[in-house]
Amino acid sequence: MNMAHEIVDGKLVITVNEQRIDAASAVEFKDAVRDVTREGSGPVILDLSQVEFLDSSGLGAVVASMKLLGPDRPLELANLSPGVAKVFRLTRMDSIFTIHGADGEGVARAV
Amino acid sequence: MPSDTNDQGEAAATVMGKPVRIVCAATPEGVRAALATAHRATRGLNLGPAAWQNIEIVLAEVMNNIVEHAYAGRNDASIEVSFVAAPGKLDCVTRDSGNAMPDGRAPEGILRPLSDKLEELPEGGFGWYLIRQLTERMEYRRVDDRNELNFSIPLN
Repeated sequence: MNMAHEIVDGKLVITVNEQRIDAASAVEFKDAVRDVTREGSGPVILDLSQVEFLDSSGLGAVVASMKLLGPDRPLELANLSPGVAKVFRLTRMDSIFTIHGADGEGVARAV
Repeated sequence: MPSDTNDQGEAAATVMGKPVRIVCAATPEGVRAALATAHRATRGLNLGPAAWQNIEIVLAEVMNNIVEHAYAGRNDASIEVSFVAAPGKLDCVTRDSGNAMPDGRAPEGILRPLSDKLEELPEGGFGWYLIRQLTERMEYRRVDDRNELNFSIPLN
């Protein structure tokens, strides 16, 4: 799971450099998020601009990551591609996450 | 004669309204490969991106459920996916030789109410809800020792 991370304005921004978070990579995704968030505090922003496809296993892994981070370290999403946004919308998970930069707004504006 | 594993053949067959047939290993990686083949096979249909997104979600969820539940951890099994383009929809059939569906029918796919407590949020159970949202005419049959699922994905 190729991920990049940097601190922007006190928030940890994790960019997922993969085209898919699916049943074949969901566990790896969850482990990678756990690794890069092991230290630090404050909100975490997951930039999914490179991710074209997310299935229900991938969605479950994103939810699991949010639960793992706990209430004091909110996991927010940025730059969902249309296919990924559709899965969040259909499952109503878009009501659970703060989502930045949907529909063309950039992550720079989001953070 | 184009074989059913030839990408060019599949694309041409789809345009002509002949069924495309893909057989893949019943593993997450096999499902991924089958979806890539399906994408190439539907290229000739000139589908919009939204139609392909729906097809990919439905086929992924149906096949992932077969891997996880029908075969339940077996790694020596295969899944067959066939589809044919019809006006405004894609008619699909999946076949596997795994365990039968519980109660002999396809799940209703009810979305549970989302809790406002973080620790109670569901991490699964979305698959059949997504399938039901994006399909019509869902028919499940147990034929001999095989499962057969027939459904259509609207393309508009």
